[in-house]
Amino acid sequence: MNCTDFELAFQERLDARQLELTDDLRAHTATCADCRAFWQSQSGLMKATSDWTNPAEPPQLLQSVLNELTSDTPRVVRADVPVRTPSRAGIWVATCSTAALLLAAVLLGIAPTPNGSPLVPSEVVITPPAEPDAPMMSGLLTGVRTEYAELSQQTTRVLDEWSELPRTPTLIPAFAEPNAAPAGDSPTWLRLDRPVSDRVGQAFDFLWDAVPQSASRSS
Amino acid sequence: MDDVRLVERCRQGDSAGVREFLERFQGPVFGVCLRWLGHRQDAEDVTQETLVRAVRHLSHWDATRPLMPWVLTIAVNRCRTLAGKRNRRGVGLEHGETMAAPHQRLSTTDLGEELQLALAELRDEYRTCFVLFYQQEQSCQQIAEILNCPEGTVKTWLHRARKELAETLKRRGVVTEDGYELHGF
Repeated sequence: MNCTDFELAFQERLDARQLELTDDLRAHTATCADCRAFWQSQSGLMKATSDWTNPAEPPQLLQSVLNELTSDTPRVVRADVPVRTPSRAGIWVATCSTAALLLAAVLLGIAPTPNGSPLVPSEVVITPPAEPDAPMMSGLLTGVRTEYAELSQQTTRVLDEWSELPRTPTLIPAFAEPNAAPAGDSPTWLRLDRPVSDRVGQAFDFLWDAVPQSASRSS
Repeated sequence: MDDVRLVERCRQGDSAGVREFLERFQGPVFGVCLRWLGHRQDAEDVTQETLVRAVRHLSHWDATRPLMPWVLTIAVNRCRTLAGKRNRRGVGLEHGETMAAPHQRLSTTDLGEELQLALAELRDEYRTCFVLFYQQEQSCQQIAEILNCPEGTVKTWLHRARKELAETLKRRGVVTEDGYELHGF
């Protein structure tokens, strides 16, 4: 028996709460000082734990638990009554749906304000900053304004041209109605092109007005 | 009274049954909490919390299994939770912070306290296995159920706990170099 075998066999006996060594284990401890020392230290530890009894619990513990259980009795009774509470997922779905609807309304500019006008204002007054902009910020804002202007013009042009492009009803057969107009006439849904392009143009105008004018003047 | 009958009485609201339940489990639960936490006031608080939770959630107990490991599972989990809060707050054990030199301690403190101090240095899993095995005399299989891990893992943790405890006691001078005998047990 080598030391590894001894340790494994000894641990098995400890797991079975058996402290006495078998003959082969005892023979190994007679020849190996390390394993004998290990066995003696473990034996001492086991003897210590054999006297390890449960400590005396505090006398007021039982009454404290009983008091806590008694004081919460109404809550235990109410637990049997099913109570419908909104689930967390339901709250999230409702919140996200509302946010999505509001966002769509704002983007399309159709959400009315209390006085009946659209949310997108016709004129936006931007208060100029109290202090002059730093050169770096001015350059950055000028670049943003230039890019927005170009993007706005390109988008408006593309949308204007898009409504004039030739279309055939076979491109989107799902939208084709049984009593559709003859070829050459645009379907009803295509007439939304012009209002959509107008709305997008208004949005870009709003962005254009929102950028401080001092940035472009400083450049 | 067997576990099933006792639990039935508790669930029916029988105050005598609840009292018997508490009298049966308060000792083992307090023992585990005290050995695990090493702090008497914390152990009392966790014991009270454990017993209240156990009584309130008796409907979750599987009647085909013994009741003691189920209650001890709650106790160990509560101890882990409190220990986690301690670690986050950076609070150490009071007696662990006020330990004297090894040679001074041997003459003044009893060996039960030495063992408790050595336990406090163990990893949580090792300490839990050791306490449940030697103090509560739970089998390795029952400990595996309590800790929700394989039985082989419990044996490994138990083996390491024994080894580290013996080394700690030896390092503190509780075990002599020549005979490796523990004094005073």
